[in-house]
Amino acid sequence: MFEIANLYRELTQVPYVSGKEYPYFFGKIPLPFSSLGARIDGVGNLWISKKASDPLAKNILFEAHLDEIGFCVEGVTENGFLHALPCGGFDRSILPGTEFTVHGKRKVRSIAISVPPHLSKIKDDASKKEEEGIYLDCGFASKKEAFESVSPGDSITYASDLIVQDGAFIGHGLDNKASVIALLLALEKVSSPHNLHFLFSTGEETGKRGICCADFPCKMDLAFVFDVGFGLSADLDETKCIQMGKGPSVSLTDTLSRTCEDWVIKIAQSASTPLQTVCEPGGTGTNATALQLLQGGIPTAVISLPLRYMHTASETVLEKDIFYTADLVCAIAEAEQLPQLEVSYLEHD
Amino acid sequence: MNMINFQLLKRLTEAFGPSGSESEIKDLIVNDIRDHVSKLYTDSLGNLFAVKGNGGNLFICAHMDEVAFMITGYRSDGTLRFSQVGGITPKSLPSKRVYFPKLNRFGIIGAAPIHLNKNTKQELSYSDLYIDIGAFDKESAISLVPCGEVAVFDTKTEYFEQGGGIIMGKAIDDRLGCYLMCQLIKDPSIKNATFVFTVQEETGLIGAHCAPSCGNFDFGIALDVTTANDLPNISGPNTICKLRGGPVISFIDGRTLYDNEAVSEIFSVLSRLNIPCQTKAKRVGGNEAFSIQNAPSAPLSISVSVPCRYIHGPVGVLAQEDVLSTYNALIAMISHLQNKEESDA
Repeated sequence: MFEIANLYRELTQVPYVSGKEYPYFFGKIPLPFSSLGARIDGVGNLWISKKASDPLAKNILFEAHLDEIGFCVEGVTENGFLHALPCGGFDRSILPGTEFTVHGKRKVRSIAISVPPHLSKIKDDASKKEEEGIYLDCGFASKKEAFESVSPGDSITYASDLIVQDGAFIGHGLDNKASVIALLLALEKVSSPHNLHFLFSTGEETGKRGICCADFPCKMDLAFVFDVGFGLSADLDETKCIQMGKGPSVSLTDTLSRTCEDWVIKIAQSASTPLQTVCEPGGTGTNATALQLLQGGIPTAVISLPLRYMHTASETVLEKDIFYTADLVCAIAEAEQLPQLEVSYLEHD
Repeated sequence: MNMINFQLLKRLTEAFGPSGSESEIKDLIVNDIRDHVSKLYTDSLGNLFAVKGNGGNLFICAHMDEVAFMITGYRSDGTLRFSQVGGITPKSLPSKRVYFPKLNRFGIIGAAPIHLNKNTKQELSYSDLYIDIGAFDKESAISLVPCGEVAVFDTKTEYFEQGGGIIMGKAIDDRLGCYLMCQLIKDPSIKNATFVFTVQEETGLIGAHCAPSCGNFDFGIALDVTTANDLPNISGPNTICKLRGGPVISFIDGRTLYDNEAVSEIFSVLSRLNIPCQTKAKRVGGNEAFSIQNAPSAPLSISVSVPCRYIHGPVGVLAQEDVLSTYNALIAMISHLQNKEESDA
């Protein structure tokens, strides 16, 4: 518990709002990546490679996106309210009354404006048309005062602090920090006959932009994308969800490598580590869509960590699912036999 | 060639090969062409590459995958919840029969019968539908059909004499393209070319995206099937193209703008040889020609599609004369393109 919570706190020291992730914007590698010898590429993706001793070893890629959804400051009104634009998909109906942190010259606490029930019959100008942005109240009395602490372009994240309760982690940005944490936990203990490459990519929530421009160190033979999946809760469509506490899932798809997906199921069975399946015909909506088409084609599978209340301030994951995901990474990396994909049919080939 | 090899077309269309699970159709094709190629291999995404001679400067592709249904869950009464693999309109699915070849099991797609269905205004969606496999509770359904299993339409391919020869079957899109490629591969007049049987076209032109980077191609031909909508009460451009009008060689479709000069040239070559052809009357649909033109060597991309009625449904209708005229058109086009290269050089 301690370790995961500490990693989470380390990872949230700097903002990683999609499009203005700290490594991309400042060109610096923050903790914990810097202590693991990470390399940064041209669009802020972080790479950590663990090479095997065999010069003919295959290359396996484990990917998790580093960015989370957030907003960015567009401007300030005369009365000191911040106007912010979204970076990623939000359920707009939950925003009024939600607390945010503005990462300006200092961290500023703010609240998204809302109309109290007494006045709910009064419709403001904004509600009459489709507004893209939101207004945040930081308590500033004027535009001048606001600009002493914030500037246009500053990142804004949900303000929720991490709650650790009964084996659950509740906080913002667990999409996709939970997966990043699982990969970091695996990285520390894995010992593999293959070359392992861990890629923490930028820009996923706003168009998979980091993965498309990633600077690969070599040709990858196999890739696994780690993201979050819909944890089953009341009212949700069962066929699109996975259970909390039963480990990560592998997506069964018609767009990615079914061969790899079936292989992962066998690996999990022989390593006795829990793995669920979820059917995702029509696309997984993850970096895998772009990744599999790079480098002339990389066979890819998607592993999802169960998470409830996605894209809200109270995203919830279970500690055991993070550990199960790290165990799966180790089982994949330590497998002697990788899936046989390229086949030659004529004897002389 | 004045008769098609119906037995080969029947085997190809009846084979199981939904997007993502193409190994059965791929093995069938491998066995048909292995003695006629110099190189035969699959890449890591599953595309099958068949090289004649030195591979030449011509890339031709057709996709092996078909549209299908994936089982996504269960209802408590033992029926299966499912979704589409590729695009299939849910509206006319109730009462159609599906088949799980790996399990040798049939299923029927169901929805509330019309007598009892008070809500006739709303469009059916996949969450309203189910597949009945004869199980009576969830546990037995799970033991019969695992989640993630894929089913195809249960249709046997048949040939009929009327209309100059008519073929009815499933997966004509794009097993017909695969059939034409198998025949082209066996044709001695084509010496050097690279043929690729691609995967996952129906779920996003995925296989074709990476395939053309295997060589340096000047020309690319995407062989597909397109929707002929020449039906009663439909007129003008809404027919898209006509059965028995010959291959459809588009100037423009839903995804691609083709090289105007090249397409016009092909039309005049075919007209000189009295081979019928037509163009697409509306800017709809899209195929692997889009992926070919984005390949690193930027080949000239041409789309050749055979008209077929009712694609992406349980039974498509295809005219034998369109298959024959498309084959002849391809031989003429390939000869023109490859000779033109030599005379330009």
